[in-house]
Amino acid sequence: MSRTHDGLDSPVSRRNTRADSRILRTIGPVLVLAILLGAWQALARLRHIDQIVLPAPTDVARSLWNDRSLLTEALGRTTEIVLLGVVIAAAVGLLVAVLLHWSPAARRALEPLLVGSQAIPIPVLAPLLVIWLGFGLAPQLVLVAIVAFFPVAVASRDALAGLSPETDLVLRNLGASRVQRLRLVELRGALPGILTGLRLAVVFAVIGAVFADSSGSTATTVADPTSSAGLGRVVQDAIPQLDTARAFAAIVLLAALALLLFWSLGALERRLAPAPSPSPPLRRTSR
Amino acid sequence: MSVSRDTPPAAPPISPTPLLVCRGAAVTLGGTPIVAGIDLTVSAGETVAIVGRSGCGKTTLLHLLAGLLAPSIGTVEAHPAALMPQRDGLMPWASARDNAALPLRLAGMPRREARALADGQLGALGLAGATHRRVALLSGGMRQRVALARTLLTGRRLLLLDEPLAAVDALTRSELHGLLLAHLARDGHGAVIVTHDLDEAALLADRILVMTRPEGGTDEGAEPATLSAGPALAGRPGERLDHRGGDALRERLLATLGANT
Repeated sequence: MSRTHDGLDSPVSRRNTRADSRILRTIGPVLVLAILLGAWQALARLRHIDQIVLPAPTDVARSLWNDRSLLTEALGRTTEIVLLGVVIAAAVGLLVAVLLHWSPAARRALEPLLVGSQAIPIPVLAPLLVIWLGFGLAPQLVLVAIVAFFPVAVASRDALAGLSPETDLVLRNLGASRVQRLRLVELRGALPGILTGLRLAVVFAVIGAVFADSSGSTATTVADPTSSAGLGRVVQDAIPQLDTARAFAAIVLLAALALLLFWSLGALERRLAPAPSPSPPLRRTSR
Repeated sequence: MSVSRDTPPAAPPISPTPLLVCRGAAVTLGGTPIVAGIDLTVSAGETVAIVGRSGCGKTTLLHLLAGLLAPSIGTVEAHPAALMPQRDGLMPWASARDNAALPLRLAGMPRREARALADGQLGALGLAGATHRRVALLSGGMRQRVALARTLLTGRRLLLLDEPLAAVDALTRSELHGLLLAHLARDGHGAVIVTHDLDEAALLADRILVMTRPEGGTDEGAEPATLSAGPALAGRPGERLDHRGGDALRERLLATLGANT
């Protein structure tokens, strides 16, 4: 990279640097993944580890292809449960956040309950929900929503309270009502925080969906009431059948689903609430 | 002790009654007396400048006058006032026009109409080309003008301005002085302007008040700050310092500030 005599980057070198960093950003994760997969493959093959104990990445890839019809269907079910659950979690989480934001008394009363609710182990909760709500979509959605609403509620409540003291002064001076403050100022200002909560929520929701699936409730969905299996069930069924590669294939799809939703919300966040400064951070120039 | 504030909207008819009457008011925050013995009347058509050292309680006084703080002793009776805080209090994520339009939106005006009025006010303050830009991307001086636009768009007759032009460059400041003078010259309007700039105080105000703290500093246990009349100004607002008392005025003001702090 060339530098001008006064130590500042020339426009050309700055463009090159930007392109370099973009390539690095793309190559970095791919490289790390390739190294991990390579090491995993070498370990599985060179140590002759049984496929039942640890399938090699090539075995997992083969299973992804061979069981594609089962896996695609299960992925569709899980995605549906996760998305519906996150929508419910977002709505409930946001409502709870507004309640906690508006009422210190509600905050004192509800916060221990909310935190306590997150300490209940999901494997315990899942069968209980089936007993209470019966088989079907309802217990699954409730489970996913319970797991996913907490990060939305906490992040949104903190974000709603993050208004600058000066803006608060202006709003008080202008006689804004609570609802006006929320509608015209606070919700929009809290958007980055709310979206951060949602990004965590989708990851939690994927975990919740797996437990919901493997809890014994049949995965009846809106799209197909007669269907019965998400990716969690695929994992659970594959292990006793000693088809570990298929279990791994389902886990790969679960991770991919979580990552895709996480990234999508990140992109939405960048679009709706871009970083405050358009200029890149100042870099130290070295000679 | 009583604090009474009229409800905003429909601007009351111009009356000889003052816009603001403050009698023997004091503010104590967390047990510390900040200001005391404040007697201040602002009539319609009058601009009062308050000068004083940093941290002497000028902002607290403005918050008292705006009704954001209750007096611990004394009374404050005022028309609805528009406060422009020292740090602009803008919404960094919103555009300049949406920030300026905030008081109109809060008053129930539809977004389209409010934005059109905001655009007009921003244009008058030299920001016609920046109405769509997010405030986070504006310079300090531009932000201050957006905050001024928001303050003027409240339509309130009494303005409480806390260092309104501190971040604005000298050239723009002189333009904005003219605009502010024209706004304040309208019938029935009045203002209290807190400023560090003695020239600005002399240019904009009918009267200058000096805020001083007997023992100096804002240390806990120190005496509260008080307000006293500054040297009399010759001429009319808008005239240069030379016509309002010149260097002698400045020296007397500095002496008042220095001698008491």
